[in-house]
Amino acid sequence: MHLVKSDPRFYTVDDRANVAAATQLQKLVEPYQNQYNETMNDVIGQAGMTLTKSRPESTLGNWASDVLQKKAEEYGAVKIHGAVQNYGGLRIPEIVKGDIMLGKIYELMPFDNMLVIVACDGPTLMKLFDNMAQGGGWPISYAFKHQIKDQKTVSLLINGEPVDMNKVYNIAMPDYIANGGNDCFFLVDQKRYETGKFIRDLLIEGVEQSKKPIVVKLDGRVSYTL
Amino acid sequence: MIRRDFLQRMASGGMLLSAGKFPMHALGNSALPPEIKKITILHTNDVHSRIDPFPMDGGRNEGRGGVVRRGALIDSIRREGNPVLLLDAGDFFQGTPYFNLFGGEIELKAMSALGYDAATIGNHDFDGGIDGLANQMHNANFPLISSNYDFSDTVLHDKVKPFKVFTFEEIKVGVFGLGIELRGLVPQTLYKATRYLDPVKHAADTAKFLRKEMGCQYVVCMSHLGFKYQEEKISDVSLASLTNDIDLIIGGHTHTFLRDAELVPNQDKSQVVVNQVGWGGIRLGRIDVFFEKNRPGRCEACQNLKV
Repeated sequence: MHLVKSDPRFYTVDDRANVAAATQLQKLVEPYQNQYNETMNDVIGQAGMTLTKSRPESTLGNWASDVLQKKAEEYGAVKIHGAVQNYGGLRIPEIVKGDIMLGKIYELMPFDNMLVIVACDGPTLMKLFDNMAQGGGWPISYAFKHQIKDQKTVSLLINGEPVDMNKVYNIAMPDYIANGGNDCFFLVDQKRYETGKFIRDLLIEGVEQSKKPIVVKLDGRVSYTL
Repeated sequence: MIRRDFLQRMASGGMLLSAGKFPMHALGNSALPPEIKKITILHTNDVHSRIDPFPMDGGRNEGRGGVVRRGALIDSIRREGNPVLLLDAGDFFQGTPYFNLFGGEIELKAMSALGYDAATIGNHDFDGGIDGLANQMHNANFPLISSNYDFSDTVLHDKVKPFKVFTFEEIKVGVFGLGIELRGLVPQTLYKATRYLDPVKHAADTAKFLRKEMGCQYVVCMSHLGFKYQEEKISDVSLASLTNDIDLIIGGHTHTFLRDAELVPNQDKSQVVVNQVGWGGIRLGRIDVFFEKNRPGRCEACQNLKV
């Protein structure tokens, strides 16, 4: 026998599937679903708008990185200059307006990543932002203003000031990045402070502690220039 | 005459046209001429622990995916009566609380119940640590296949195969798997002593071995390299162009939704089909593959159907 032709296509898996015949499978899944429902469907807060993840800047990215900066400040051991969250580390495209369930934050941040604070000197900070620019920019906290052109940094302000090459900045970030994830090998040997907190738990607190439904504005903190 | 007519329809259907116009896939083997055999390859990638459908919360994917629905769809395709090969290109773990709660148990049990024939290993399948993956493997009744991860010094050393040959009467389909570079992507504390080997070399060697030594008429690569990159980085599309002996790459990692599968000429200028179906079990990919009995000295179908 030899190959004659191949014919590729795809199906969208949706409610057109006739699940009546799939009772065995339903039985297999059910006990797991029941345990899931015991905790993960708890409502922990509200989104006042649909938060979406995109580049260069997004409401979901701004919210998450602002929570990380605030939580790092609460940690208190050291002055915090800003927070970054790798783009690929936020795992869902949106949090829809309305009730936020616990399971949604697990989906947003499924990893057991810890929040760490890395002491970056000026050149290291620039390297980090160059790495971020290469991928089109990451979620960053309100402390920063990052302009990108052709996947390179053209301008970076931190708390309104250009980066001082002789200064040390304390940046909150996932330990995944501080340990060299996303090719950030240059961060591995930097001085760091461990918060001992899971990022997921901090984001859950961020939802729970929000007194009003969460609303986020875009403020141009990451932008592309021509 | 029936056969001639059939082949002409296949030829004019072409791979670039949507299948809908030439619904060959609707034909069971009984409707095919006796010298034509059909195999249906189904594939997923980056399902990321999505056991339930996306919730009905007004989100863009609401009501899509879910293992029960996917199972029902796969069953309906099996009932067409053609041989089915069901494959996954990795990252079946991580992404919903099911993984945090149960460590991958229900993902692998569900895939086993759905009748998966093989899967390759994605970067997130190390998220519970290589020991976590090894500890869950008894829940899978299908092999994990990787041709470019060297697990010799790890707990997976005797648990992962470099390839597998599936035989459907006269047709042999060779299946192998490729994983992405782990350094800088996955913490080493998770993948431990796993060694990443050059995917191009190992794909070329494995595909050639499957074709020439094992006599496979069709060679499938399950890849977690990613569809295509702007930067210099090995991807499914570049892999296809740099090798021979691969007929189909079912990809993953980049969560790419394609309107149509991509056709990439390989080193010999034969077309490689490269496909990927997004993520989260939103889509199920399908490739119907048609084979013809060899006749000495001539091959009408080959003439007619050159793409």
